[in-house]
Amino acid sequence: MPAIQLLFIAGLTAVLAGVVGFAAVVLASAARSGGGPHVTSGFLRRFARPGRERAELHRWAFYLHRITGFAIFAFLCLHILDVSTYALSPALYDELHGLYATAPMRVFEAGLLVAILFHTLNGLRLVAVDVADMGIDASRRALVAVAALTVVLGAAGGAVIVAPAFA
Amino acid sequence: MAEVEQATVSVRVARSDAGAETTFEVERFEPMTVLDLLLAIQREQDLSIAFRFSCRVGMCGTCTVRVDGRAALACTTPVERDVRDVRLEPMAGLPVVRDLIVDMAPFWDEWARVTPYLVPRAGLDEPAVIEPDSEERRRIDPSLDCITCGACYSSCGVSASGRDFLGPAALTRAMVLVADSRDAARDERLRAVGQSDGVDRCRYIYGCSAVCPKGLDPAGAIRALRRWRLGGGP
Ligand code: FES
Repeated sequence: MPAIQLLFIAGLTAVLAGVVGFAAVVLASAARSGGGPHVTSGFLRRFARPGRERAELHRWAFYLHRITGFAIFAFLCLHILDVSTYALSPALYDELHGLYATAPMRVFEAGLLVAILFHTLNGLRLVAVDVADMGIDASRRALVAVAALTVVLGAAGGAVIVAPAFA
Repeated sequence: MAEVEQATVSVRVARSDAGAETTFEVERFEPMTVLDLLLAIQREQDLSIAFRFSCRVGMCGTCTVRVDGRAALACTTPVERDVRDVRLEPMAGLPVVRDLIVDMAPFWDEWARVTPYLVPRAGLDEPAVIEPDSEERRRIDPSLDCITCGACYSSCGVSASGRDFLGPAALTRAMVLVADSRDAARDERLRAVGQSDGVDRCRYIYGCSAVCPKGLDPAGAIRALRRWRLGGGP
């Protein structure tokens, strides 16, 4: 494997380790604050009831928003570097970007798409909360729509991204 | 599915002494609240367990604890018939004094920062008349019942994680006073809530509005303040 590809894989590994580390920090702080990761039977039972208990979804959306935001930013930093190789040598750029067509990288890209979809749609929901003065129930319904759209668009887009590797 | 009534409830309590008992089996009776569980433990199993309460009817706001992770008044939170396990912890984001008792000082510090009392406008010599169906009363009335129990503070992902944030209770109080036409400190309050540790710190987690035992909507108050801050008031 060419050195430039090894370098990229090392960078990507660092990005993924950073995301896992950041998620651990977010969840550790969640454990200290209200709600948090107390997925006990009592919590799940209340969560299953309609009404205000389900507002707890917003908390998990907040954690997920932070984690996906960090993941997108960290990959963007790496991506700026890998695209910059074109300035050094177009051949080096082509060599490095051959990696993007491999199956593991395509799976990663599908995951990235899901993260971008959730972060973008949830960000728009937060803007809508202010602009449309959305209360707890309206915001929760919007969040369900965000989750549904993320799953549907993520699955469709992911299939398009991953399919060539298995064709 | 029919609810299965449990003969005992297993209660796990966060204790501050490392060696203290943390799990208790409590015989259940009907109807039973979380405060009943704690009193039964104190009466029959461990006299040293520390928790606060006073009125027992959801008025004084002193008995807030986290029940299965969510802040609630112990005295008004029922232990449902089919509940087998309950996990009790002190409120989040506040220093623990002992077991379930926290030091509310950080909560009150934030409260004080919004000038939480009416500053009468000059020349108001007669009692003001605010019509029952007026827009002003419609805004203020639903937010007047705060008992400063701190449940919103504990369930706010921003306040409880120790960041600088006025917090949902203080901001609700600020909203009530900013909306009050008799008040002379509107600009000062809007300035306070518009700072970097004010309304913009809210991430709309809605923990506050979800857990408020009095049914208040601090997230709604924060949205109102965000709008008013730009327009100079309601
Ligand atoms: S004891 Fe007063 S509110 Fe619970």
